Amino acid sequence: MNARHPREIEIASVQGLGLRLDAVEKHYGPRRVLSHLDLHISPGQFVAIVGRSGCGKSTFLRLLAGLERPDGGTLRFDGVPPAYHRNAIRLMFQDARLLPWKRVADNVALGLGGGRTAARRTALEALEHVGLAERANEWPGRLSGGQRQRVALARALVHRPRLLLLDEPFGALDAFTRLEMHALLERLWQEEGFTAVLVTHDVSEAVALANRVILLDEGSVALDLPIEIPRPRDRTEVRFAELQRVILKRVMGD
Amino acid sequence: MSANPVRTLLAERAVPWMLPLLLLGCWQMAASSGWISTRVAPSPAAVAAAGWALLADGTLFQHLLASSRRAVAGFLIGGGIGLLLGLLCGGVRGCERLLDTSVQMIRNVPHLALIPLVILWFGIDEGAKLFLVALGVFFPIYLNTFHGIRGVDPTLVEMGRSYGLRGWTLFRHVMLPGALPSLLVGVRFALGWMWLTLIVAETIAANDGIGYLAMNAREFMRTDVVVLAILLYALLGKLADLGARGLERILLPWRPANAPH
Repeated sequence: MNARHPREIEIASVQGLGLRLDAVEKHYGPRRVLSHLDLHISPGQFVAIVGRSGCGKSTFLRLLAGLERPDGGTLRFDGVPPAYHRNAIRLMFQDARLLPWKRVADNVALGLGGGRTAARRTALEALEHVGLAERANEWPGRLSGGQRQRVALARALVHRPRLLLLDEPFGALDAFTRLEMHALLERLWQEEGFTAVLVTHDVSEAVALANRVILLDEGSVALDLPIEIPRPRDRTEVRFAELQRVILKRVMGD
Repeated sequence: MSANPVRTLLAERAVPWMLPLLLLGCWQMAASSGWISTRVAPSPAAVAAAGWALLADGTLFQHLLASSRRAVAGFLIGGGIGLLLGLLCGGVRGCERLLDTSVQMIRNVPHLALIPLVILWFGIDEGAKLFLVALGVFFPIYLNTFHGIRGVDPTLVEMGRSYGLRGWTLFRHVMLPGALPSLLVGVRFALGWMWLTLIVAETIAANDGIGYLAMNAREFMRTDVVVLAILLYALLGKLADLGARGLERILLPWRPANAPH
C-alpha cells in the first residue's frame, strides 16, 4: 500500500460485511449436516473453511449465499437477515459457470444494471483487473480453465460485493494456474476490502490466503485458527509448514 | 500427391456428383432407345423440356408460389403455437401437468389419418391444408422446445439466480439461449413434416400448387410433369434444410461447429 494516499484507498474500497451465525442448523431428512453452528466473522476478514468431504462446508457456503435456508438458528449480516444484502453477496462456483452463448465481456456484465454501454465499460474494467481485457470478445468455450475462472472472478467482483463466497474455485486448476489465481485473489481482496469466505480441501491454499482457518467436522467447528503470517506469504517458511501440519493433523483426526 | 490445390478441390466437389450424372445418362439412353416406355418414365430431356415450358408460360411460378405460401403460413401457425406451448410447459410445472398428457396422446395419432375429418370440417379449401401443415409442424417444435427448456443446465440457472436474474431476465439470458439448440433441431424436423404434409394435402384436393400440378398431369398421362413435380419437392426440401442450417449458424455462433473458420 502507498503510505501517501491511505484515504483514497479507503474510499475506493467497499466495507466488508460482518457475519454472525447463532445456533444454525441444517438437516437433509434425518441427516444432520450443520448442528448448532455459532460463528462470528468480522468485516473484511478472509476466512477459509476446510474439512473432509461431507463435513458440511459446501452447505455452509450455500446457506451464506442464500441458496439454502437454515432449519434452525439465525443468520445476521451487519445485524440484519442476509436477504437484505442479496446484491452485496456474490458466489464463485467450482466450475466457472459462464454462459457459453455470451461473449466474455457480456458474461461479466451479467446482471449489471444501468444501460448496455455503461455495463460493458464496467465489465471491461473488471476484466482488466484480472488481466483478460484482450479476451473480452471471445466465446467462453475458447478459454482455458484458469482463464474461465478469472472471468468468473471478474463477474463476481464487477458488482463490488461486500461478501465474496468461494466454493473450491481453484480445485480443478493445475498447480501453477492455482498459484497465479491465489496471488490474484489476494491482491483483489486487499484492494477491495470485501469479506471473503473460501471453502477448500487444500490446506496449503487455506493457510496461504486466509486470516483465519476454520475446520468443520460433522457439522460443527472443530478448529478455529488465526493465521498471523504477514503478507506476501512465503510457503516455504517454517511457520507456514507448522500451521499446515497442525490443521492437517486435526483433519485426519489426530 | 496432387500438388495443385485447385485441382484437388475440384475433384472433391465433382466426385459426389459423378454417380447421379452416370445414372442420369443411363436413364436418358434407356428412354431414347425405347427400352423404357414414356408411359412408365419420361426421359430426362423430356422433364427438362416440360420444366422449361411451364416456366416460360408462368404456371410453374404460380404453383410454386401457391405451395410456398401454404407452407410458410402453416409453419408459422403450427410452429408459433408449438413454440408458445413448449415454452409454457417447459417453464411452468402446472402447465405441463395440465397439457402434456393430452399433447402426447394426440401426437401418437398420425396427423394424416385426420384427413377425412379435416375435409368434413374445412371442405377442400385453404383451411384444410393449413390445418394439416400446422398440425404436422406443431409437434416437433413443441417437443423440442419443451425438452430444450427442461434440458437447460441447472447449474447455470442457479448461477443466474444468485446473480440477481429473475423472471424475464433469467428467461432471456439463460433459459431461451440454453433451449435454442434443441429448438432449432425441432425446426429442422418441422420443415420435413411441413413438405410431407403439404404434398399429401395438395394431392388430395387443391386447385393450384405443386401437388395439384402433379395430379393434374397424371390425368393426362404427362409423366414428365409428374417427375418434374417430384424434383421440385426435392429441391424445396433441400432449400428449407439449407435455410435451417443457416439459421443455426446465425443464432448459435458460439458453437464450435459454427465458428467462422
